[in-house]
Amino acid sequence: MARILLVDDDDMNRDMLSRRLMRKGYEVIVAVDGAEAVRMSQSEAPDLVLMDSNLPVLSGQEATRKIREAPSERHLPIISLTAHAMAGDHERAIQAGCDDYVTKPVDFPLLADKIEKLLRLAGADS
Amino acid sequence: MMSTVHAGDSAQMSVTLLKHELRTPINHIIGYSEILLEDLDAVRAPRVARVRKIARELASVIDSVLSPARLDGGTTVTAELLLQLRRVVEEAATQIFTIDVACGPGALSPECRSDLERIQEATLRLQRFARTGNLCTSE
Repeated sequence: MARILLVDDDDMNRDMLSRRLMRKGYEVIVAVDGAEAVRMSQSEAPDLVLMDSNLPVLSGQEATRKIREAPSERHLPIISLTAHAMAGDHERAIQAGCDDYVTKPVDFPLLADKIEKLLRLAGADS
Repeated sequence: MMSTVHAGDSAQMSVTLLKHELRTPINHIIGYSEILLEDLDAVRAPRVARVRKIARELASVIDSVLSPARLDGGTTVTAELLLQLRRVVEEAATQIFTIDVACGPGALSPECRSDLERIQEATLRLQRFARTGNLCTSE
């Protein structure tokens, strides 16, 4: 069962997404800001990270960059959850090191597909 | 910690801020509606599908009204535009409140009841903006 680190400072977003992910059979752990995301990416060994772009302490992009600085996390799949409001968020997410992105409100079947593809690739690379 | 941004009395409201603060409760309505669609019976599910449709349409209108093309590339929102948005948001919130999702066969599970409450909470937030011009921002 893959472990997903969900990073979002909004409690309703965390609730909605974590429940749907658990229904799909994933184990879900959560972080509420970018700094916690960086810590947990190392301490909790997630298989994939869902990273909101708009976070306190460290933004999603900054947290992604910091995660990628660790040699052990260079290949950790990270999907950015970008706000529809912010132009350029997609490009910034990829430039920061995210593997893919989805726009809120999250199209859950699309997200689930992207998660599966990245987990398969990561499994193939390991 | 929540702070209140008074959108109604300022002619210099950031488009990005306004869009983000309106899209957040709308996204909550859409998200919880989708969870409920997985859980509700055949009587209640169409009503929540209608709630989701109204929320999606509202999101689309907001994106259109606050698009760079409509604003001539500007980054601030005029009082007139705010008023237009408040009317559109009020109409959508009123429509959502008229839909009685809870009424139906059997009792709702505690989880479904809680999800409906979250939709109500998000809709109230939109209605508050529509009536007062106030946005609640998270810090």
